[in-house]
Order: sequence, then C-alpha cells, then structure tokens
Amino acid sequence: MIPLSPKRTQTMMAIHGWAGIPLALLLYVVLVTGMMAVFSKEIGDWSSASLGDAPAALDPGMSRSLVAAAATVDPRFHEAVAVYPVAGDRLWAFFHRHDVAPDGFVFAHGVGFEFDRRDGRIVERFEGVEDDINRAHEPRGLAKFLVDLHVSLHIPFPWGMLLTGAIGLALLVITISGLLVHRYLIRDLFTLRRRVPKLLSRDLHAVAGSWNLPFAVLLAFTGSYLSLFVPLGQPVIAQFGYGGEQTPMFELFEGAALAEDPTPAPMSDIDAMLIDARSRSGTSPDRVDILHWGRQDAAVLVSMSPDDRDLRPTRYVYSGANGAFVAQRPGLGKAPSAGGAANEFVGGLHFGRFAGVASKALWFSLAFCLAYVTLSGLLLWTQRRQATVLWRRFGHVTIWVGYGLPVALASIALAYFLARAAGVASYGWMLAAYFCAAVIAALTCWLASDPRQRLLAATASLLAALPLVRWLSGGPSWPQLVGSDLGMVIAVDLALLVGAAWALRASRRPLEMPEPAEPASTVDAPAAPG
Amino acid sequence: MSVPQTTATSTTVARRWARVILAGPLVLLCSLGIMGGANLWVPPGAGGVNDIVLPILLYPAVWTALFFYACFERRIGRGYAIVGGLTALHAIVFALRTSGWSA
Repeated sequence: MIPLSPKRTQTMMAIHGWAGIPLALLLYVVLVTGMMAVFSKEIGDWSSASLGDAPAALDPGMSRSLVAAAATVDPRFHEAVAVYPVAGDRLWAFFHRHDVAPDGFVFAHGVGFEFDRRDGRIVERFEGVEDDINRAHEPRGLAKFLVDLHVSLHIPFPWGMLLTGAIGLALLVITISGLLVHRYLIRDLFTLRRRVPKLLSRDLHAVAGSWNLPFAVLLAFTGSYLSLFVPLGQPVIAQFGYGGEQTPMFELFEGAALAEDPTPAPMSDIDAMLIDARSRSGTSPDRVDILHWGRQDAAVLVSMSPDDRDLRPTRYVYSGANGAFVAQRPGLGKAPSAGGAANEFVGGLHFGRFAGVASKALWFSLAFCLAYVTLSGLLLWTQRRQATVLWRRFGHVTIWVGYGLPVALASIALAYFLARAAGVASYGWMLAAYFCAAVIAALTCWLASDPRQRLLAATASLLAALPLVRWLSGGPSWPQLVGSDLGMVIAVDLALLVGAAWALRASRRPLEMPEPAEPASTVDAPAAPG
Repeated sequence: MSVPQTTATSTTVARRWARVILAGPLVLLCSLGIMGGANLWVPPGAGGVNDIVLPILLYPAVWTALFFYACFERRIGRGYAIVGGLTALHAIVFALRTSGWSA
C-alpha cells in the first residue's frame, strides 16, 4: 500500500487525468505508430523486397561504387559520406555537407545514391536536403512515413518533435501519478473480476497499466530524450556553452579522428577495411561513415552491429588515405564516456534493438499493451461523464481516433502499393490515404450506430487485403520467397492475416463498459480536480 | 456570512492559479535553465561529450521531479523560493558565461 492522504490522492488523481486528457489521443497515436517503428527495418524489407542473387549491401565490393559516384558529385559534398543498407538491403550512400539554417539548426544537404548490389551501378540519384531525399527514395517510403508519424506526427521540424517530446513527459507524469494513486498496487496486479463483465474493462485497464508501469517509464524517459535532444537540448546547451553555435557540438560528437590535412589524396580500398573490421569484431557492419572524402585526413568509421552480449555497436576508425587501422572509437565522442554509452543505450532500449526479432516482438507487445491502457483509460474517463455533453462528444472522438487509426495505418500501406503499381510518387498518395481514412472514420463515427464494430471490420478487411495487394503490385510471391533468404516477408504477411482475424473477432464482441454509478475498483476512480 | 465565503473562494482560486503558474511555466523555465547550466558544471569526461549528453538525458527526470514538487509542496511560498532560486542561480551562471566568464 502506498500511503497518501485523501487530499493528496485526489490531487494525484486529478494530475493523472488532466495530464493525460489533453495529449492522450496523440499519445495513443505515438504508441501505435511506435509499435510499427520497432519493426521499421522489417516493414521496409517487406514493402520493397528485392529478389536476386546479390551480396549483402555492406559486403566487400562497394568500394568501386563509391569511388565512381564520388567522381560525379560536387566536391563541396565530399565533407561527409554516410553508407548504409536501406529497405530490402539496398546499398545507399549520401555524400553531404552540414549547413546551418537561419533558425540555427544544422541540416545535411547533398547527393544520395542507390546502387545495384549485383554490379555496383547507380540505380537512382537524388540531390537536396537529406529528409527530402529520403522521402523521395521510394523503396523506404512506407517505413519512413510510419517512422515520421511516430517521431514527429508529420508536423514540420522542430514543432513535431517538440510535441512528441512533450507527450513523452506527459506519459512520465501519467505513469508516476498512476503508480501513486494505487491504494493496493500488488492486489491490482492480479485483480480481474471476470464474472462482472462491466467491471472487467476497468480491471483490465488497471492490471495492464500496473504490469506496464516500468515499461511506460522506460519508454517515456527514452522517448522524451530522443525527441527533445535536437530541437530543445542542442539549442539550449549551445546558448549556454557555445555562444549559440551548434556546429562545435557536432565536432565533439564526431571526436575528430585524424589531424586536419586538406591535401588531396585518393581513397584507399574501403572493402579491405570492411574485411579487417569483420575479423576484429566477429560481427557484420551496420554502416560506414567517411569524413573528408578524397583528402589526406579522410577517416573511415565502420560501425559494427553489437554482439549478443552488448547493446552498443563497435566502431573502428581507418585512415581513408592509406587504409591503416587507427583506433576503436565509441559512437559519440573521442573516447568511451558515460554520455556516449548512455546515448547508445537509450536508442537500443527505446526501439527494442538488443536481442534481434525476439526483443522487438516483446517491445511490440508491451507497446500494444500500453496503447490499450491509453485507449481504455480514455473510454473509462469519458464513460463516467456521459451526462456531460462535452465529455460525450469527446467519447466519440476517442472512438474515432482509437479505432480509426488502425484503418488509417492500413490505408497508408495500401496507398503505398497502389502508388508503386501506378508508377507515381508514393508520399502524396500515403498522405491522402491517411487523411481520407481519417475523414471516412469520422463520418462512420457520426453516422453509424456502432462505429467501433465497423471500424474494426474495416481494419480486418484492409489487413487481410495487404498481402495480396503487395503481391499484385509487383512484390514477390510466396513460392518465390520460400527458396530465398526473404522468409521474413512471409512472416509479415502471416502477421497481417493474424491481425485481420483478431480485428474481425474483436468487431463481433460488444464493448462492455461500467455504468457511471458502478462501485469503484481498487484503483481510485478518476475525478475532476476539486 | 456571504463576504467571508467569497473571500475564501477567491483565495482558493488565487492559490490554485499560483500553483498552476509554478508547476507550469516556472518549472519549465527552471528545468531548461538547469539543463543549460549543467553544461557548465558537468565535467566533459574523456569523450568530451558528457557535459552535452548528460544534461539532456536527465532533463525529463529533472522536469518531472520539479513538476511533482511544485504540485505537492504544502507551502507554496517555499515552492516559489526554491524553483525561483534555482532558475535565478542558472540565469546568473548564463549571464556570467555570456559576459566572458569561464569556469
């Protein structure tokens, strides 16, 4: 039992409710899209699977592709090169420089290439700001759209990330206040009154919320850090410590690998560096970053995937001019430090990237549970206030967002495949599908007698259609996939079909909610601030 | 009888607004000041990034702690003194820094 005076409990309950209500619907959107973001790599591979015998993107053989591409790029974009695999293990390289926007934020501007892994030729070339290029590169369109929805709700920088950061802080407040208002926390972990259907939904909210408290704190803490780092943390620190300039901080993050020497020099064989890095770490490379391409002080940073016992990737530095191994470096800074390690842990913990698909599946399930807690909390809150017109309308909005969002997300995927089949840019189609689905869901809530049932049925139909549409729009079929190393595409198809069956089953079950006059559970009922 | 009741109600409303201002904008300002100011008193460490990463990493914890403190401090005057004092302290550090002072 957590001892709190009745007045403090009432205040805490008011904080729990009123911190949640203004942002809870957005929190729900962030949680559901976060479930997708956990599997962003798999979604990219699923939506743009590329069949054919080819070496892995960062296998030896890419050096000549980079050298050929560099010759076609304006030398001012040789300041830095980022090389990494994208959707379907396509090889992507971005030659760029860092510019400072009028608002003081630093952004990357340059030329991006997709290479054919079989013969190294350039498949596509883009020039512009990094975010615009990534959006225009069709193979990762669907995964990027979903990740951007999670990270910034598609609101322009910096406002979107500030908003998701604020949502993270609100989740922290909701979680801590939720913990403190439990009169009997241990009992709440196990209380499910199955024989009283109208109390079951309240008990499920309390049980799911209680078990998820540690995970909610973890997500809220890491999420607000990741969202606020660039749009809030960097400018504030720059004001205090660096006269308002953010560029010096980037130099500290990179931890200057080699002494400055702008003398032109040809690049050494990067393939040989990748082979050496593999032999040192025993794992495979995740990405390669090259600083000062074509100069005597060129540095090649090879980031290796972490082994099974570590969350942090290993990073090796090589001289780009002579290919010599220079040092092992942390991901951030010039030497291992608490800050650098913490930064790497946070990313791995937030997205469940520490034990392959198993940890991602666990994170997906926990985030699903949290999304359920958020939605059921809102439904309980509005149900208790049905007598008030405003809360009754807010209850309709909750149904609209809660059950309309899965329809909208499935519609985005459908639009992506249809745009690809039509040979047009997918971003506009996905955005249009998202808003169209939102409008149709709103009309359903307005006109239908049981909008929840119809929206769940629509979700089931769309999810069931996606594997077929993926195949009909040019994706590989199951027989083609069976013999390849892309079995994961079949796994995602099956997961969608399971999701469709679950949504269909849920649509046929009525939602049992407590009457406003029902007796309270062991969790104090939400109350307006007194 | 009605005059004392009105006075009591208006006092309660004023106290509530005072707490809202303390837990809202003042706590936000104070936590931002602590994050920026920590860049000056957290050692950079061997990697040279601790003074940047750790203040930002701890920002959610600092804000949350100050928020709950502001909500539950019984003596609101003391709440203003502590939150205001922390803000003022870091404002002074910022002013000294911008005027050329270094630790």
